[in-house]
Amino acid sequence: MRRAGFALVLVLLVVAAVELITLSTLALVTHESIALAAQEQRVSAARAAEAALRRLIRGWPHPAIDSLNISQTATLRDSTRVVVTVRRNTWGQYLATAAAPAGSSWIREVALLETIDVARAIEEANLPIVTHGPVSAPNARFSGAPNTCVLPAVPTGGDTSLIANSHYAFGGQDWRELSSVADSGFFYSAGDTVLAPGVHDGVFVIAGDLTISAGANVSGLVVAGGNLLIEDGVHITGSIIVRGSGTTVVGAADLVFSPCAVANALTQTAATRRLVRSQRRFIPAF
Amino acid sequence: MRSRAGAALLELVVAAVLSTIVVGAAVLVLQTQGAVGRMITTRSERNDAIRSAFAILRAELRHHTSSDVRAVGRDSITSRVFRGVATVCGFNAPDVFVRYSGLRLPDPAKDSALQVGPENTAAIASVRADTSACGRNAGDQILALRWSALPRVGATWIIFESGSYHVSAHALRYRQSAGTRQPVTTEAFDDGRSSFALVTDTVMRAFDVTLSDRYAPSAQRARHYLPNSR
Repeated sequence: MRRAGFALVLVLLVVAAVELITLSTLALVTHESIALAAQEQRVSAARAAEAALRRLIRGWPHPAIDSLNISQTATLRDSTRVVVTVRRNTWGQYLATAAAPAGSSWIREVALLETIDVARAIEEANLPIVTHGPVSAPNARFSGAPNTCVLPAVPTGGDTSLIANSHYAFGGQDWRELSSVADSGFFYSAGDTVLAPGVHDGVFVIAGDLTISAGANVSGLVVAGGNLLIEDGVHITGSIIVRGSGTTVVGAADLVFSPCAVANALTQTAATRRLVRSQRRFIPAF
Repeated sequence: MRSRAGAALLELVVAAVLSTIVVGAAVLVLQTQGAVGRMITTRSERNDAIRSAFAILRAELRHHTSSDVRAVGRDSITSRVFRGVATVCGFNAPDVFVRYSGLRLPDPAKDSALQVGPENTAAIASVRADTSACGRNAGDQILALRWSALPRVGATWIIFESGSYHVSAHALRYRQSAGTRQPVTTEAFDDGRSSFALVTDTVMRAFDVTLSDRYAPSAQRARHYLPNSR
């Protein structure tokens, strides 16, 4: 039997089949490589975006951001391809978004950055002594305020959520957050403290009980996490916020309520321009 | 020309033997190629499952803090699962207006809200779209929410549901609250050799995920660091 070219046809068919399978395998391997590369690209982009936000945080305050009004946005670019956009939500809060290219798409990381909210702090310090607890001040001399009674502070919008937080201090921040900026221009004490006789100007944040000694002349804002005792002969200009629930005892002291002294103290301390270390700085990007 | 009696038969036999060898070899090559192809396809699917699982877990848990995680077992993580972010832009009691972006709209039946900063949580009573409130830029989504919290303009809330990720029945599965476990990957994992673990010291630093191949002794491990812990 003569079957010319049979072997050639057979071999060609086998080669074609082998090539088909080889090509399929090659296609799968290529798919794997592409998928891996894309994944690597996305992870790298996420890291680059996170790194850009960390650089922004380390370099804070930034002049272009400092001058933003509420709802305004600034776009920052550095030598990398990451674009960082910062929006001022409130006086004490910024939303920073870093977008890094990953192929044809962008990977975003978002951070919510907080400073002491000066406007809110001024609003909270709306009386000579702001406290939830009782006050014993039979010999104190109050002045400078429309009334000298002591009322609970209620910030704008009736938001009592922060006040209800037992760790809350002032300006939208709690004690732990305030301690993270304590080295930058205001006096911070984690425990009970005595303010000695003499002149004390600025912002004083005392997480524990506070005693203001006779002969002390205090100007600015004082925040006490525990109870407050003001001895005879003390002169205070500004406001005192007391977060403790015990009785505030005020001797024969002069208390001059002055929003200007509070505002000056807050705006002149570098701490109000620094970022506090909040528990949840990075939030999901959608 | 000399007679070559039997030569044709001999040639035929030789040709038949050679053909058999060639065809046999070809069949063997085809079979091997086919097996390799199938193996690569299966491995590719399993790799896809592992990649998807790592990507899903990383995306879902990346921004967690220790207060978001409810329980961690060897085979599961139960936690808040974030679905959107809302920033309060105004209010008209009882409605609170928010700028919203998320994977889906908030669902009062299963979602709650978490205030960033004070970490207060609130139940959501109702949600509706509102095109009249707040200044709107192109692409902004404004919602009117009613929830059990007092508003402050500028406050940021994370909308979340309670859920858990499990490695069970050979797949990564998600269970929303009291629902059933739904697969989010193909059935590619060995349950017994796959695990979750948190890396903590004073705070939650990272989470480890080990996913083992169901059909091979290999396992892939990844440690996902949490940006809020650094």
